[in-house]
Amino acid sequence: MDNKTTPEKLLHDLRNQLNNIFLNAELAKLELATESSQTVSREDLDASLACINLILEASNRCSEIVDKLADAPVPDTAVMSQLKPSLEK
Amino acid sequence: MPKIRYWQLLFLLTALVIILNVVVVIYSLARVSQTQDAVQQARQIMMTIRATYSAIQDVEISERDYLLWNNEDAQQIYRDSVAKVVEGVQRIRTSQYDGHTFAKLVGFESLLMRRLHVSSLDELSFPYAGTPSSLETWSIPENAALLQEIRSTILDIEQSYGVLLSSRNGELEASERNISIAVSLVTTLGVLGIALMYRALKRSLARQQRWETELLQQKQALEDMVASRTAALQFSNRELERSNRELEDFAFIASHDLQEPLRKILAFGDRLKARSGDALGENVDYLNRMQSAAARMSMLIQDLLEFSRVTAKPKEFEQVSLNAVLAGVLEDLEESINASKTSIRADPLPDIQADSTQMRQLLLNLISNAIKFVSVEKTPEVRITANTKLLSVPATLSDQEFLELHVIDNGIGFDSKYTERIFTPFQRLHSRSEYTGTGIGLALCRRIVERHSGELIASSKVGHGTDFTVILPVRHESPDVDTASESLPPGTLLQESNQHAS
Repeated sequence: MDNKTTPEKLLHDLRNQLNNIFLNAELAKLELATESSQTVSREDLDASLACINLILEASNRCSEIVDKLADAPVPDTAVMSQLKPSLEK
Repeated sequence: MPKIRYWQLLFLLTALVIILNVVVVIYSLARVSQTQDAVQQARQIMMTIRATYSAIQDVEISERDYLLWNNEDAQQIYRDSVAKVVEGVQRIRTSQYDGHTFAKLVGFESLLMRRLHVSSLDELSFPYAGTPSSLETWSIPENAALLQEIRSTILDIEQSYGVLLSSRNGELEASERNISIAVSLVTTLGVLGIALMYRALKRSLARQQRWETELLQQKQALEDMVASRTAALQFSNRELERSNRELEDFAFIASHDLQEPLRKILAFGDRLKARSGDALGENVDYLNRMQSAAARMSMLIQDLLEFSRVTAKPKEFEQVSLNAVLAGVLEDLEESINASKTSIRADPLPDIQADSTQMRQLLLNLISNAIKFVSVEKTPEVRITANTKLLSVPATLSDQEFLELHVIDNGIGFDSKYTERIFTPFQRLHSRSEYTGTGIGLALCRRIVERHSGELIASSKVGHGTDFTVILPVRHESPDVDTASESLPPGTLLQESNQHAS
């Protein structure tokens, strides 16, 4: 259990998933490039590698957006509950 | 003794002394008046007696004058003198006299009668027509002796009246002395009272002025406090609005910017899987894991967007049949319910004023949560109970009808120290490998309930299931207006509800 606020936790989760995507895409790329080159046609292999490259490109784009969100002043939902209007002191 | 009692006692004592003195003065004045009347009376009687004695001497002289010198004029003098004697006696009779002198006066009257040779003075009517006694009946020694006796009686009476007057004068002096003392005392007390009253009034005015100043200061302090609280409240409201806006912006950017590359990842992942899935063999898992990660990212973003939209773009409250909402939810969850073999028992639910979509989301999240966190050792059971009750809302100082809804399961439960944490967005008590989900479901539920001016509270024990309590107003004063309970500290309604139940 951590004490991260909502956006921080979300960004953390998003980065985790992005890392998963990167890692698995790279592993799939490596697998295709090495092990599957003999069983798959050249055309299919090129197409598959192009797909993985596009996935990696999209992942990079996601990573940039997540970084941008992390740099921006993000709302703190943990604080939001304390900001609830109240006359109690 | 308190100071006020002391002053009251002093005032009472003073009043008592003054009243007593006034009574003494009144009594003494009455006595003085009585004594003065008695003295006056005594003096008048004395004067009358002397006048009567003088008249009886005139009777003696006129008798002698007539008998010795046969003076006819003496008859008239005789009659006038007798008339004066009778008048004197009658005046004495009508006068008030005390018992002490009564006998002497009766004796005096008797001597007079003897001297005038009558049995009763009443026999001598006016105008008196009698004549002096004849020489045969007239006796100088006897008359002289009678005169002497009358003089002695008069002296005796005078002496008695002298003593009486002296006593009355003593009483008069005593009364006057009493009056002087009482008047002096009353005057002194009056002056003292006025001085004390002046002092007390001055102090009271000073105290009143001090109180007024303090009251003004307190009023000012209260106004300052209210102004400060109002400013703080306005600041909090602005901060809340800003935070909501920022969260919505954040969710929008995250959703809008990330959805497109994520869709690309999912789409190319599907294509890759179709084209090279077989070639990858068991390593197709790389693609599966990649797809799951992308799907989860998408889900996280969707959930955040949904969470921010609870208050950002709400629908107006309308009359909602919770029975219908629950039926729809159970239909949606039918597959999960059957798969987990969960038994669900629900009480009839009332109609309330709410946002129907959000009510559906609330029940869906709570029931799916109950179905998800089941214990392997027990047959899953979910019980939904509802009742309405009047609760006091402190902010509005009035009673309001609330729905108290419980969603109770016999699942794994959780440690009570996490009671609040489970409502924090993206916070999870279990790993994703154990239980699926993004960790926003309960946070979303609480946000929905709070938007409806209600409360959502969980109570749980590890291994014994969880009881989610939802308290919602049955009616809202105006549609989609957050009512008074919005400003209540968390748990107020539940506490009120528990007190009501007990």
